Amino acid sequence: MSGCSSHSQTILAQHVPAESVNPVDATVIPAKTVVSGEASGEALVSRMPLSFWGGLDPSTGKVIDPRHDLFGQYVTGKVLLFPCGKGSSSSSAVLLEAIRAGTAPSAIVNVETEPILAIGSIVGRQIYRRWVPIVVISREDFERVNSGDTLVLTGSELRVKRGKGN
Amino acid sequence: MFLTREEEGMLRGEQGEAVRLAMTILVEMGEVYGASRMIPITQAHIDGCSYSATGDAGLEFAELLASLGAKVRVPTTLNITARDIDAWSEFRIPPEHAAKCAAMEAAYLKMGCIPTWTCAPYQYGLVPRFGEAVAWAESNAINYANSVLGARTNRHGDLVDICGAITGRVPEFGLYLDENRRGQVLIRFKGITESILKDDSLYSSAGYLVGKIARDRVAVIEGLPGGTPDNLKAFSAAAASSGAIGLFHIVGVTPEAPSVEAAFGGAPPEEVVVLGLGDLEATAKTLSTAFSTTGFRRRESYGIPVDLVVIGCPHASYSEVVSILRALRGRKVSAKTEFWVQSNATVQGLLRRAGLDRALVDAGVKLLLDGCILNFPLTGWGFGVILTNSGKMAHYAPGHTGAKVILGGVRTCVEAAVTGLFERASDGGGAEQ
Repeated sequence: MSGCSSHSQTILAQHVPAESVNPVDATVIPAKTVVSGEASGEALVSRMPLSFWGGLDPSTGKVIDPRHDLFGQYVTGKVLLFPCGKGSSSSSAVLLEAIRAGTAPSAIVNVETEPILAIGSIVGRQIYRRWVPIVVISREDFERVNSGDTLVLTGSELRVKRGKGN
Repeated sequence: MFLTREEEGMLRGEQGEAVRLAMTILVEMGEVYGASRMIPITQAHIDGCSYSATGDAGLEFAELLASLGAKVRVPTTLNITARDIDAWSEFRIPPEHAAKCAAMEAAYLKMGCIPTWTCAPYQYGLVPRFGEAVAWAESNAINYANSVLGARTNRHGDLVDICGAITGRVPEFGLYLDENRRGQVLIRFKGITESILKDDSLYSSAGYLVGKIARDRVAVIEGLPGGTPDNLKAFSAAAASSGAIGLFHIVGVTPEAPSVEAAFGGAPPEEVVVLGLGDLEATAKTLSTAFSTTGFRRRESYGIPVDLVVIGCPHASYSEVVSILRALRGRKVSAKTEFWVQSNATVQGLLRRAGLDRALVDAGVKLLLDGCILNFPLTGWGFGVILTNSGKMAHYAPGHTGAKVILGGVRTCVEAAVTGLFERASDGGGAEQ
């Protein structure tokens, strides 16, 4: 995984061994809030850092960076997981425009969240009363979530229901 | 977090709704990232003024602030807009797009920003001194200000930049603090001499590799000759494209790195990576998407047709334009190729006073002012292959323009502009040998 590293400019979650909450197959992952909110949706997981500017077309919600592992996929309504941000400082504005245009993911889950990304959602809440909840989870937990899983974010918990193929 | 009485008042709206909104956003940011207080800034650089990057949301935010009577309280420079302000139609920018840009420009000017319209404000803008706390956005400029100048800024995103300018404050965390400016990863270049680096694009390749390895960590770089401010500009921009890096130290070159020990603050590096010329050449090839798809080896004998040669990402300096004119040696740009040099009105003014603007026009070189093709709708041009000396441009252009790209030095770029074909070896060094 081309991941990220610990840095005081970002927020890190503590890894707590997860417990199975019911006999079916749901798992609860502790999540640390960056931008608060509740959301649910299908997981779309990237193992690569993502720059929203140059990476996401906010008019369609499509990943447009041909160098990225989510290239061609749509983030709209999904719970988008990627380890961390990178690149342009315009990523904040791209997230805000996606919120305005209704193409944003339903939530973002990172291992570390750069201020650049958080600000897009913070401003969305201020001026549109619409925003994307953002949480961070531990690297170990991040590795255990796969595209297609169903995720429910409630406060400081991320509930994972395994999708097909897991 | 602790707020002074004045800051509390700002948050309550005592200085108007715009200041209240800006302060609310800054405080939330500070709380999330564990800041203990706000600190004053002496200047700001706004990245959120490109309509292409921010879309209607960014325009609505700027217009909202302007309509609420927001005024910047520190000198504030502006990054690019999403057009050439005077010559947008020459670059086939649709009128409706130009109108949106004009609205964005008006909103930021109404707030009192300085119309620098450049992504290299450290060359033609306000240059902060060592240790000065500023609020800069634009990833290349952040990297340059922190690393080459030794000023202090976080990797501010669009939208928060203007909040800092309006309040004159930012939450104190990250790169504003001494303890976060020390090196974390050591990157040691072996065998990279000044003669190899006469291919200027190698600075882009080096930066791109450093950004990839450093990710969001502070990188300490050993064995890289300092080069010119333009070289360090290309390096900063490329590193901030492949990574989330906001600060690097080049030992013996940048001000916080008189020695490896000083750059790490006496602590050992958490990782050491050794790189050589082969790694730089491999990076240049990775960035050059036109190679892998056209089978460069087979076509090497007659070269690859180039539709657009673009220099000036970040914006070209006066010296870079002069070096282009020198390499042209009076020759003209091929009828099959466009040659655009991206820069700003300050450089244009200097060229005019030196009588060099005519030389560019006569050679068929288009000076693109105020903007950048990564922020233009390039519809109607049909560019299939773009050649550039910029690692940042090579990184982002495939996604933004749909074109294939090639990374090459300035002299390679000029030769291709004249012949219409990319051929190797024009710079006689490094990746192009």
